[in-house]
Amino acid sequence: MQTLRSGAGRAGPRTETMANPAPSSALRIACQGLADDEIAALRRLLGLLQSHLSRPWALARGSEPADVVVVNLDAGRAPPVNANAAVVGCSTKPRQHPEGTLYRPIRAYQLLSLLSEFGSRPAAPETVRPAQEQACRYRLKHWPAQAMNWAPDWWAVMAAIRGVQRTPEEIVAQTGVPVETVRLCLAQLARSDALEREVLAASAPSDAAAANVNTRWRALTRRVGQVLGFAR
Amino acid sequence: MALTKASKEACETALDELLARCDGVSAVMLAFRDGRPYADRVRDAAARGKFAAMSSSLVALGQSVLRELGGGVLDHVLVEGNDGKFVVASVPGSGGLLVIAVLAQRDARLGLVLGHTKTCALSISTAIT
Amino acid sequence: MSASYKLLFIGEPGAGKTTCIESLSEISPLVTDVRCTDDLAQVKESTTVAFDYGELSLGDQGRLLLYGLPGQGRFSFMFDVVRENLLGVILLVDAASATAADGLGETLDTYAAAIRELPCVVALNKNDSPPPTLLADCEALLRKHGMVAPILLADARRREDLVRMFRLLFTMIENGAEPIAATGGMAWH
Repeated sequence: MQTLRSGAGRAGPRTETMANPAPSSALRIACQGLADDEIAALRRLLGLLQSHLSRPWALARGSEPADVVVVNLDAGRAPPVNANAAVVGCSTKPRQHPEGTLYRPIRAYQLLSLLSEFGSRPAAPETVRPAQEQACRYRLKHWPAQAMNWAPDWWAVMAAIRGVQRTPEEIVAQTGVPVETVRLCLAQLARSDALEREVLAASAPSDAAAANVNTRWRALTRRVGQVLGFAR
Repeated sequence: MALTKASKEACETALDELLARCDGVSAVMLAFRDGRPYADRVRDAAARGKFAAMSSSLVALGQSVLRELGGGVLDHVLVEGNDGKFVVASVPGSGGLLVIAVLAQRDARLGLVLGHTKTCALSISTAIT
Repeated sequence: MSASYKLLFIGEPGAGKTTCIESLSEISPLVTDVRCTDDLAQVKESTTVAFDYGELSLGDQGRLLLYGLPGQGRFSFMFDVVRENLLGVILLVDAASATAADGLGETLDTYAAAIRELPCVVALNKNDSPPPTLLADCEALLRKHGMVAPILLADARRREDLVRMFRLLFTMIENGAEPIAATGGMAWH
């Protein structure tokens, strides 16, 4: 899983709580798959590093959306990640994972580098919100390695633009995935340089009438899922 | 069993004899069981590799089908079309190492093609043992 | 007669095609392995020379026909056996082999033109911790052949890994197809 050094929005994973509430302007970091002692160590590190960071950072509380999610890659199969945030892997053997994977236990200098880089980006609407779409069609250029830890809805979006260009509305019609999720996925793919974009002429028609085209494949997929045990 | 330079020459002689004695044969291939050519008389050199691979595939499929259906040991596989016929068999005494394949024209007499193919296979078996 | 759909497993000898089909098939699979006669014999006892075949019943939705084809270029003609009604491809890589990338390269040289438009998943098999260079090499090979496909780690002997492969592949199948109304078939874009 590669490090996504950009913010695509806010995720809502289950997270650590803090005794003192963070300022509302603080950026938030969440973690998945880390043990309680590792989370406690991360909280201490954040406290130590605050004076060296240009923007305040805090551990996300409860279901608070996060800007960065740290995922333990050694925890076996990766837990589902609400991939609306930048996702960073950590491991006791980071060299066996893509470049940018942190050491686990997390080291101060790596955390400082990560949060400094992320925090130094100028706040722009698209870094905290999904990209507001012009009339564009999108096509997937490659399947990012980190996508294996993304939600299946995001896989559906990627599948819909593998080899063909589609507008967000056409993707919604093809996949049934909500438009906001589609936009978040597209924004993250853009940051991973995995997206081709073609701006449409204002009058270009959008074929969103494909809502019923893949009923047959949906039924087949559902049955395969029942037989093999991945049915939704 | 040994695949030496001399045995290969003997195999090629056997292929030449088949071509000379059996009317209507246009190509002969002696291939390894995993689809690589060993010796052949195939005009189109570019097709040699595929010819060998197809020969081994047919023998393997034929053996698998007979095994699944309780049909015993494979003797030969015959593929007949309106423009030609193709016979392929495992070479006896090679431990399944080699397969022989013969491509013949439409009007070649099937009985003769089969007979000459088996004669050639026996000669090859002698040459390599 | 109920519908049948084909899924294809391809890869170099030893990548795990036969293992996958044996793990999934509800029938005793047909296997056309023969003992190797070339350098491959040093690393692998046998190789597929025609195809492996298995089946998975889907009840009223029909059957999945599971085919395993050899990855060597000389067997490329076998693709005609599976071309019709082919839903998707699982491309297996023997990630424990020192020449894993070469094996994937040969498989793509053989099949990429035929499968480029199809939903495809690349599975790095037999190695829980492959070198990072292998992932990069595989990504480069996919790009070279104009293929867009996810790459995941999998152990073909573990059912949960096979299930994960299928979940990803069928997500691609479900969401990537467009209809061809005139013929009733499906076009893979």
